[in-house]
Amino acid sequence: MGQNNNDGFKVKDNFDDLCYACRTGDVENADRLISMGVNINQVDKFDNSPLFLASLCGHIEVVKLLLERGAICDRDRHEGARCIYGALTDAIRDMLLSYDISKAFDTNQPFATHISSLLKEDELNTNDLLLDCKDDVKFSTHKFMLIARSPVFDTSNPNKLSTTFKDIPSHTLGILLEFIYLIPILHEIRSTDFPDLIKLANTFQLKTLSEFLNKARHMTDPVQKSTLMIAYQYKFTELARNQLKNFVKNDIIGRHIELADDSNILEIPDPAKSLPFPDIYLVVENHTGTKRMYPCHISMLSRADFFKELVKSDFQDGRKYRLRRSSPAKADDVTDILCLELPTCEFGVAESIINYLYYDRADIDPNHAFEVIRIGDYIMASRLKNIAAAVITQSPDVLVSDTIFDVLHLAWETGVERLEQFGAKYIAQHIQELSSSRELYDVILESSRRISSREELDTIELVADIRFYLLGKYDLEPDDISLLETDADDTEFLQSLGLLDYKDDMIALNKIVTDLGLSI
Amino acid sequence: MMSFKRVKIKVPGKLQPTTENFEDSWSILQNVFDKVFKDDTQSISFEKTYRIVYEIVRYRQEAELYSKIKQYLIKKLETIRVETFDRKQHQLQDKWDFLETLEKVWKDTNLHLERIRDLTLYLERSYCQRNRVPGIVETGLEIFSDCVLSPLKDTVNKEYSEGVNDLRYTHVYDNPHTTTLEQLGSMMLTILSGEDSFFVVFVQPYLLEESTKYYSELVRTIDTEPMQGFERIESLIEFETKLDDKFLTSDSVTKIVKCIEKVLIWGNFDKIIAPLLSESLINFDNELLNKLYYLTVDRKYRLKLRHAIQDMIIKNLSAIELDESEKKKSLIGTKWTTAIIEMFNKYTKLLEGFRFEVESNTDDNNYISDDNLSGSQGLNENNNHNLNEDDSDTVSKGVLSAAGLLNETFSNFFKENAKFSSQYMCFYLDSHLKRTLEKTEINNARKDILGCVKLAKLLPDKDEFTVIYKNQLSKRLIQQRSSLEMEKFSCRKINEETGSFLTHKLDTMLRDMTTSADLSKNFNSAQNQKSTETIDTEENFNFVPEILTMTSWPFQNIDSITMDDLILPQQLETIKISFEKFYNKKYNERKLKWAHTLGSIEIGFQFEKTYHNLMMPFHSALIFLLFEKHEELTMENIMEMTNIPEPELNRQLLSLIMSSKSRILKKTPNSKTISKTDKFAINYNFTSATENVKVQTIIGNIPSSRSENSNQSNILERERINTTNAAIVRVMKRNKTLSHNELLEAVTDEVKPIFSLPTSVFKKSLGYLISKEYVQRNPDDPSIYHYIS
Repeated sequence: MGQNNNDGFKVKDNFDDLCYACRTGDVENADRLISMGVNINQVDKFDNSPLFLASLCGHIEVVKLLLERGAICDRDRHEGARCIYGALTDAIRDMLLSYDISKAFDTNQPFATHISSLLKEDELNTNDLLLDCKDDVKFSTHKFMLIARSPVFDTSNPNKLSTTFKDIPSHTLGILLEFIYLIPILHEIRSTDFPDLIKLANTFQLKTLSEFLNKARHMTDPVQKSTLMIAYQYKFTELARNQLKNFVKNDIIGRHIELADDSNILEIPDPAKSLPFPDIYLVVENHTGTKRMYPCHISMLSRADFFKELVKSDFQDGRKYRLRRSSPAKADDVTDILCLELPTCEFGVAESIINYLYYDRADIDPNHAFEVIRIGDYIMASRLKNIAAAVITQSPDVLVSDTIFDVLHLAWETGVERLEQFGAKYIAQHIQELSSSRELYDVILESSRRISSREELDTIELVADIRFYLLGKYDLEPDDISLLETDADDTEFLQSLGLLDYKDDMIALNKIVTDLGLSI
Repeated sequence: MMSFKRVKIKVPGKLQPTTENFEDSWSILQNVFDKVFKDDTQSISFEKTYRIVYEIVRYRQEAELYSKIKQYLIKKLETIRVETFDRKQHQLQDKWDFLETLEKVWKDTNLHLERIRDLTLYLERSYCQRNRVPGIVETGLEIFSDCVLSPLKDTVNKEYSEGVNDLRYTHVYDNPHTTTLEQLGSMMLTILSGEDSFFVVFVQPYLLEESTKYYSELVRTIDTEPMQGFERIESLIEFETKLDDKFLTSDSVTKIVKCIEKVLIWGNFDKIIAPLLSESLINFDNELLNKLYYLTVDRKYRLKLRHAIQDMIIKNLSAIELDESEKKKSLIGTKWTTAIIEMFNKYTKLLEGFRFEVESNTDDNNYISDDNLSGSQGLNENNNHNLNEDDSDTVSKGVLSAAGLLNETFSNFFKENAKFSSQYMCFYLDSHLKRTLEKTEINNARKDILGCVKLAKLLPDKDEFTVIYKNQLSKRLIQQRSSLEMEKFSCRKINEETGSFLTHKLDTMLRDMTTSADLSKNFNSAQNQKSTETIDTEENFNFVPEILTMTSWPFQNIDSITMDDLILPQQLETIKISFEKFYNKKYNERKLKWAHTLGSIEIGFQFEKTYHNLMMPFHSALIFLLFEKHEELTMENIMEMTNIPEPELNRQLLSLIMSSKSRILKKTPNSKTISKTDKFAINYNFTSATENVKVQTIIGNIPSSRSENSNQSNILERERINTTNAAIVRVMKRNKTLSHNELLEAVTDEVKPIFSLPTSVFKKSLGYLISKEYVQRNPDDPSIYHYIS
């Protein structure tokens, strides 16, 4: 399988990480890595695919994730057959069979799914461009999407866009738009559509599409054809991701507006006439008090529930948005465009979020990850939070021991379980160094106060988690603990098992709990 | 190149630096919520409100916020209730005011709660979800239930039911009011009260009660003219179902419809349903009956209807009169049976396709109390019944087909008329079988026989039927009065319907007839060979021997009918001797007895005016043949020449001179008594309209028919005792020891397919078995019997 990412070396690394995540069942990390564009249908040096590894190791959640993101399980091919035979449990095997490529064709990235939904069911009515075509059918589309996906559109005069296609039959244009909006249509293209489509693809310089069409045109073997489709569907998605990446880089982040401290009114390009044709401005203030404004699109931001609810609701903001749509922008009256301010954060954080929302970019700068989680919490984007959490847990080098408590607090505040577990594990690993830390006392105390919200009333969750990870730290099983009593004399034996160290750690932990006056 | 047109845009100032002071934030929020309740969404900023909530949660004051919102909602909804309902109550004029206001409040509250939820979405997503606390809408609805709905409970109940009644009264189910009811209904279903919804707990029972009341009132106004009344009921039920469907759950619809059906149907049963039912049965109106029966799925109703139908049928059957004007009993019986069969066929057609409920034990109780039920009085009790009924409804019960119902009914009827039903049915069969000599009648007869045999199976005493049938069969066979083929057909059908143990002997009789025919053929051909050799063929007559297996035929006293000392005319004697030879050659071990009296002779004779074939009983023929050689004979002469016993001869002669239709002899002196010296001669003046004349023997002094009857009942009793003996032995063998009653019960059951056991038979049989030491009384307790093996 070829890689069409320029940064081959880094992606290779990511692929190994993905394989590791598949072996350990780390769903969040796998999701993050897949979102970074790793081709999940390649194999490692032992010829194992991520899907095979996850199946073999019995991680059904990862298997599901991989399948949903387009991992191929084709029984007719060696790889797929191996996955099915290697599946650890019946549940996994059944899932693999249910995704059997000969039955279903589903290869979607979350952002691709979202983009597809914009064409099919534009719930918030975010379109801003009506396309005319030959047979009097009109398509509602988004200017920014067309511009991002095809290099040939004339961006200087957006009004002309609507008539660009007026000589093209609606059927052909429909297919083309579906392609642009990443709807998997390859298997639906009829042979009679090919000539028109190829012409159209060439006109709009959709090279990958015409490449596919030319190849598929003369192919008859269905297996061969389906293999080609899978490969190209992946290519299309990655192509779209790259195009959106460039678009965000050049036309959103690149066109941000610096706001002077004191001025509330400022001159900005007419959003209806100039790139990126935004329908919302995202205002961000960083910690030094500098403000920036990013021209964005509700259609993409609404992947986060905050924006979706805001636009949907019947309050001032939602009305404002709808009002602007219903009365087509008079040049002077665009001051009513939505302007939202995020909680204070670094610009990089805001940009990470925009990147994520537009094309699922998951390689968040670890230094921004904390704030990304916080802002992700604010805008209610839980997947983003998990991905950012995975970034934190994947890069322990950014953690010095005194930030671990911040991690825990953040975890509690934002409800990211992965970080809670991570914190407990870290504390378990470093219990001896931390045992006198005031902050450890504090977090345990805080955890005990959180009891009221838990189901089991008499455990302190953090302490229970730390105990659990202490076992793991010395590779022990719960049953091994009894050896401490039965073989109390054989210190050498206990030492070799690590039980003595374990005992020391437990004493340190228990001391804290007792010092705090908490019952165990 | 892009052309930038600069526009001015207002950038929001930095969001309110949310105060760490919770009270300040709360007052802002409260203000926002007030706006929500005033529907002033225009001036609420989602972003700002969201941010305030977010900050509060960040400062870990989410629990306070949550409880503040709760308190706020309580206060708000209390106020709404007081302002909208308590204060205004006296102002609510129109019936619908209250319900419509409530509907509006409910709609608004829902909307407001949802808006507050949206505004505090961050709280919902973080605090509520992570701590498994009910969300704002859920909490709000609970508060709505506590602060608005529950205090208004009684009013809601009353107004709701009145609203429903209003719709019933105006007889429209498709207007805005229905929507109001539907909305309120769904509201009350949404809101919980304990385990179940508010509707089910509070409103439904009341509504049921009110509906019952409403319809109880209405019942009184229903037309007394049955047909119109029925149509009214039908349309009321239809309307109610449609109406309820508009705003109630299907579960509640069923309950209410059931309830009102009860009132409508039971309240009018005697007045409307019963008359219509009898009308439909009398007129055999299938359509009407269908409508009546399928008016409701209520089981009790259908059971009652079923009973009524059965009673009615029995009544109609009993109304069939025995036509006493007919002289002959057989004619009366035939007529009666014809009427019964006709009735059966009519009812079969009428009830075709019906499925009837089968009674189970639990029904009996319900059934009785239902009869007492009147209007709303029994309502509570009624509800209990509903429960029971629901239970029994789920248990699958058998259904009775129409045929089953009729069989049951007719069987009961025959039981009531056990005295004559068997006999009359036999008469019917007899008369129809006798018609079968005519080929053209065969198809009709076949149908009639089938129809009758179907009913015969329902007779309580099938053995009686068989005995009578057998008797008549024997007569028909010997006298060759019917088509043998049809007799076989009839026998086979009886066999099929009643079981072979009864028809075994009938089969033997029929077989005898078949073998006789064969023998006769063989004998005749043998005879013909001989005749060509020796005897002159002038004496041209047919001899048809009938060889009967003695034990299978219902002749009591073999000796009384076999008289060997008759003096036969020469030809007959020759035939007799040669047939005996022939038969003995064929069946060496068998003994042939001649039963001349069972036979008959056919003689062709030319009277003065006409020629006739005379069908004569054997004795009469012997006498008649004497006049072949003599002009005139005294009775004494005849006695000498034939050796017929005097009383019999007397009877025969009387018949020949007295019978109005076949007076072929004349006597001098012409008087009605016969003395030994009276002279007899052929009455050449005799003539008749038909060529074939049947010469009948007058029954004479001997009351033979009564003796025949008593004969039959003797045979019957003997057979019954035999059967009972066997049954007792079987039962005792199984149980070893039984009390009198247990035994009686078991034996009655055992012989039920054949006859219903009369105590006299049981006693005789038991006495016989005790005397034979099959069974022994317990010496200590005479009511207990032991089986002696």
